[in-house]
Amino acid sequence: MFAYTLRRLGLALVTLWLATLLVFGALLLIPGNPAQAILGIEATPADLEALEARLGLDKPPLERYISWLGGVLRGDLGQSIRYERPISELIVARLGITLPIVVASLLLATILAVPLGILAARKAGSPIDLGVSVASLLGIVLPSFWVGLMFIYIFIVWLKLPLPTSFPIGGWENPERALAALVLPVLTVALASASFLVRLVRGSVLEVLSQDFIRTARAKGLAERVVLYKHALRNAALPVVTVLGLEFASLLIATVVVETVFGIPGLGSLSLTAISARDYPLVQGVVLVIAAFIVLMNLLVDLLYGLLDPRVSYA
Amino acid sequence: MKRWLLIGVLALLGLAWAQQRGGSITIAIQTEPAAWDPTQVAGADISRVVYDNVLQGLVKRNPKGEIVPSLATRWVVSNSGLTYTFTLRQGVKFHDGSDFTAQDVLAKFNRARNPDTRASGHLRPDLYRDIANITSPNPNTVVFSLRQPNNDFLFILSRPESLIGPRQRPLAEQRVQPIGTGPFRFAAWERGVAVRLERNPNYYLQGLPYLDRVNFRFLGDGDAQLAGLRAGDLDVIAYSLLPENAVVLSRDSNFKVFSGSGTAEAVAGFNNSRPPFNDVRVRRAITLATNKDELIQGAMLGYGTKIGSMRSPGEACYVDLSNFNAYNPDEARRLLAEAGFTNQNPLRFTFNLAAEFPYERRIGEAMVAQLNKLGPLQVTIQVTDFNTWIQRVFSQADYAMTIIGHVEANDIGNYANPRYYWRYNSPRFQQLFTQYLRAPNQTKACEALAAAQRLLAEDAAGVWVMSLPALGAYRARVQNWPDGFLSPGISVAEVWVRP
Repeated sequence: MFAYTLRRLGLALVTLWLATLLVFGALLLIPGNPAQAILGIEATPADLEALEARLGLDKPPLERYISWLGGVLRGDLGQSIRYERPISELIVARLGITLPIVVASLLLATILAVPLGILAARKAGSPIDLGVSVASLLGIVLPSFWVGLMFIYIFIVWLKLPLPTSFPIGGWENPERALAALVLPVLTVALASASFLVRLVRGSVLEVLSQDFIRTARAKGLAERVVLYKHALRNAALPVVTVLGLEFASLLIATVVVETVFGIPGLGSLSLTAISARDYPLVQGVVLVIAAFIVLMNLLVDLLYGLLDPRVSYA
Repeated sequence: MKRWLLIGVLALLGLAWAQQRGGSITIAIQTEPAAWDPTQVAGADISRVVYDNVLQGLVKRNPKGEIVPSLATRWVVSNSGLTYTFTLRQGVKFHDGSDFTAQDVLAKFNRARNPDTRASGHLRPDLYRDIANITSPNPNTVVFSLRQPNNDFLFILSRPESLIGPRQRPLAEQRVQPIGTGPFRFAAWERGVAVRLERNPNYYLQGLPYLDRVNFRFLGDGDAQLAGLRAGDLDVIAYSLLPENAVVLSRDSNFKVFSGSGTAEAVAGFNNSRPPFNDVRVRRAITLATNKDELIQGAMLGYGTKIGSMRSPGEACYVDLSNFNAYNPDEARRLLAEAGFTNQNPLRFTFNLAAEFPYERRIGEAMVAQLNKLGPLQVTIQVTDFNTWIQRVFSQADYAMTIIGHVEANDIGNYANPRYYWRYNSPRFQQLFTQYLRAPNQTKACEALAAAQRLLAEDAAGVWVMSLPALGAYRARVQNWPDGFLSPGISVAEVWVRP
């Protein structure tokens, strides 16, 4: 188990390094440069050269990458070109908004999706099952920016609920307002996520229910409740747990859209700003952090698997 | 008559009494600039926030576009046009408590005209090329001596690049927290969210500003802006309000929609150096195939003003050429045929759009649809992000046609620069523009500028589709919102709110 974890960690580090290399290469390929983004179209070539020199952009790319990587290994993500601030400080501040959204959305989505999915599986083919299917299909196909806007109009403009339409100025200085500002974004993200999860839970439970050991359990005369909760769900949970881990990572990225609609200064909007400003070190920093989350989640899921499924061994 | 006069006076007095001190407003702007000192970093949104609110210059452009006193109370121009003598306002303090003096003015403009931008950190030394020297014969006076007359000199001093900060202030600090002499001090910049301005208690104009606090919130999404305004999280959408949202808000008495002509021209530009756009017949044909009225109605729901050259109606020396080369598809087809393009052998080219600008993008898409209806034109659209656009179109002129809004006032001079991305190289135009700059008086200057506007239109050096509207909205509690859009800044010194 210990050796396995160590091996996985080593693999994770290689993955992260490859991710940084990939991002750095991709940024070199897209046109545009940070100095021009800062100075705009009226800037003269002399202005641009002066700024590039100040930002250290006149050095060759490989040199820039190596010095950035050296910084990362020392635990220093460097300075943002656009904001002239330490990147770690920017990312920590943004994670302080995006992580609560992602965690709360995932919790809410699970609380909604698991019981509904089980219900739909048990009553497969009934009107309830059909209702859940249609609703979840809607949740999947409706774009979240539209859902978000509808929520704003329904809850704030019409029903006059005292919720802010965007993250308040001053942020967490005013915790109630800040939390209130996250209610609708969490609902929006959770709805999309739950729609996807509910289908997965339903499918997974249905598949387990059709297996031999369930038939055996029922033949033994066990109560349906015991069959379901003691035997079926534990097995049905395996694929759901896997997906939950991956879903966490994909939500980190999916929040970009919701953050735009709700004017939330989270990690998603930071990455948009970084890309459009061609703030290379900042893009690399954000990607590194997101990739780290993904790798970590995968690792956690694999380790959890062992706990849930005795057939998995870590030799 | 007398009675009406009395009522009028009383009404005015009533207004004066009603002005409330205190309160705060939140204004939505589209983008978050990279920094806040317009002498170091360019961008229209920087000026919108800091110009005349935080930082001031010797003179300023008021919302009507007039150049009026600011840190200088008056000025005298010598008959030769070579000497400008400014009398400085006395007793002015910067927000950090230091005195504003003639030495700050000297330091500022010596930094500005230093051609070594690496050392000075100042943008556009080319603007200040004509300054031979700057002196201060006494603490109240600053004298600029020019190498040659320059009719744009006062205008240059009213530009955002000419704003003045304390001479001791480190540039890196001024970038993130500018210190000036304006009615508001720069309190905080919450990255990604907003900028907070607070009342300057020592402002030199008695009784101003009215507001305690002004927040500028960065919110790029038009629908999110509208929702914020309706929910009361925002008080003002400063500009770039989507036309369809303007229509919705204008039906609601809780909001006031404002629309006017600013200084931004939507220019569908040609690469004049690239065949076939180096052929004036082709350029004219494309202008004739463009139905500007339909674009204003269709793409902008009527918001916008038709123009025919590189100037907006509110600007000085404007000549109305809006019906020059007016929509005439038959004539367009005839000219294209003359140049060798027919339905069987159409002219194919790509039209570049930048994704970030909602107005220009719609106008461009609708314009391409018009061009493709003509027959001998086959135009494809390519949308990229603004940064890509800057590099490809603007820096390398690697394009055929594009559209972008040119926000700056008085920017017709860009056509005098053959290296500018339009690659328009007309010795005659360059001569006219020099004549304008060096003219001995305003009448002669306007004559030259009028001729320059006409020449551009005759040459069809671009398609000037419309003067983009300054379009925004505010909640009814906001009073005295500036009713002109010809200043680089959104001046809020005299704005107040009903409690």
